Amino acid sequence: MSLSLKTAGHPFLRGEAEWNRGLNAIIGPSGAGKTTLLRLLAGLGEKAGDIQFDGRAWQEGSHHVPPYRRPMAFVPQEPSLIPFRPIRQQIDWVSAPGFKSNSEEWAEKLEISSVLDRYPRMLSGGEQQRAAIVRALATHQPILLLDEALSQVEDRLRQHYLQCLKNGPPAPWVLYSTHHLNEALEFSDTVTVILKGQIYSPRTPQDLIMTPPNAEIAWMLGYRGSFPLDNGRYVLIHPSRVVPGTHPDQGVVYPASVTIQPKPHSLLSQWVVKGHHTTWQWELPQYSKEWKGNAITIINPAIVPYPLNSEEVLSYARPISW
Amino acid sequence: MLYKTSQTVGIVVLILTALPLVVLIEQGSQSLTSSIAAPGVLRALWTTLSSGVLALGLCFALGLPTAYWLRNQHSQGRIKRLFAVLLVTALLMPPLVLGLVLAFIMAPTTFTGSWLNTVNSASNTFPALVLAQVYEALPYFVLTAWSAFAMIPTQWEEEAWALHKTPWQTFRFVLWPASRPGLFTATWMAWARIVGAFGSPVVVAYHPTALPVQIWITIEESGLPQALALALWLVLIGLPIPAWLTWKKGGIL
Repeated sequence: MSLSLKTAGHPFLRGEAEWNRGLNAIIGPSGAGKTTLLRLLAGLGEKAGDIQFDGRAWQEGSHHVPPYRRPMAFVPQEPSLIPFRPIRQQIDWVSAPGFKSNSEEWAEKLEISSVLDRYPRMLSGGEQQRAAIVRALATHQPILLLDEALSQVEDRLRQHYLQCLKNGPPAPWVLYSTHHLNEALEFSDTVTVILKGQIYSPRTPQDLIMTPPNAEIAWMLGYRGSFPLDNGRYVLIHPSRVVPGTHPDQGVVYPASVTIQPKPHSLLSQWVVKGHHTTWQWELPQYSKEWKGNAITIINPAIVPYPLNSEEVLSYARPISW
Repeated sequence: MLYKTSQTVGIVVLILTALPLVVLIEQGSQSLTSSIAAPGVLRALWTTLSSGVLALGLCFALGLPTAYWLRNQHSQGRIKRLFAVLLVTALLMPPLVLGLVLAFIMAPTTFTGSWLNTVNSASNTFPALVLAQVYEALPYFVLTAWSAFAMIPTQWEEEAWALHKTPWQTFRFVLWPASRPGLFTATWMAWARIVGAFGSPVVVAYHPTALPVQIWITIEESGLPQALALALWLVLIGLPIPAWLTWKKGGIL
């Protein structure tokens, strides 16, 4: 049983994807098409493409299953809770009859139990988002679509809530979009990358990190350069997988002139790595004494069939911040 | 300076606006009860109320789905524009012109008229009166209800659909309560138009005589004082509820 999408015929989205049970992240920069993708799956907006779930077509040619007939619940980025009804009333309204309600439990987990009897305007942005999630969960649909549904929640809490979703998934399928790469990698079973409307089929976080499909995604994942390994293969350089010095037992060694120095007025260190033809610079969230050397070692290297040193990408090679 | 000037003008306008009502109440109330005893008046009152309720029901039943449908048209859709132009034209059409057209349609010489006349004489009937009233009031109802619906973000509706709620359930839980004040306004605007409809009923439905036409007859037969008393009756039927609703809402639309 899976949820599959072919975007042929869609004016903006391209590519195909198939999602299985679990926590599936959709990442991409803003404007990449995350919302369009989730709305398409929800049956809102464009009626194009081909969507199948559990052997049934949600969208196929002119056949279009309306949102309220699809076994899913969708939470948009800006929750449009009904302003003139208290949260609890809205939850009761969408609650699936005949199911033991788990809304109380989730309201507890997402820490909004105390505000359930209030009107939406009395809640903060983050609380409204969590209320919208609890409301969506009350529908008891097998697929939950969350469009940056925790974007207004502060980082620490959001990670806590994601952990809750990971530990006891409220729905067999959860598709959530985010622009927090590290969270997507940490909490998801699969990650779907979307760039300028192009959908790259879902991969496990490990797979995505080790074999990014192309240079652009490698860049998004934090890779900042590459060097040739042998004929047609390149080692990608990720600042967090680099140790200064020559350590052949730990990974691939690359001879380069390396300078590491503390960044003034901060707790960061600045790295400048001069390779054969290229200079890479980045910052890392660890303070260090000044260090100079003539090699770096790439731990657990990602080896890919494309370089990340093209002129185009080089122009990006300025210090990155964490 | 600007405020002072506008204040002066505003107060003058307010007095001018209130004047007819004050005069009407002052003059009309003198023979309010006696006027109703005049021949044909009670019948006209009853005709206005019964045809009015029916016409209002028709406006509601026809106008509400239309307004809902228009709301859900694409924002730049041609149908939406076309309908807006049509409705505004219908709204601004002089009632007398409307009456003439209706009379022509119902005349035995036209196709529809001859067809209608096989059942019964088309004009000067109760249905003709109701039809004339509906024609005068429907554009008001649809335009006001449409704007009432249009003020509700489509997002609310879409999100409810995406939570497994059908459009009908969503209408009842979200759209109806949110648009109710606007729909009330639409309803009572239509009611005021229906009750006061004169231009087209005077052409197509002189009989059964409704109150506005009866007022016209009274002027001709008994003079202005009697007619003013009837006019007060008309205002008392048509306007208190819209006035009260406006008061309750605390201002205009």
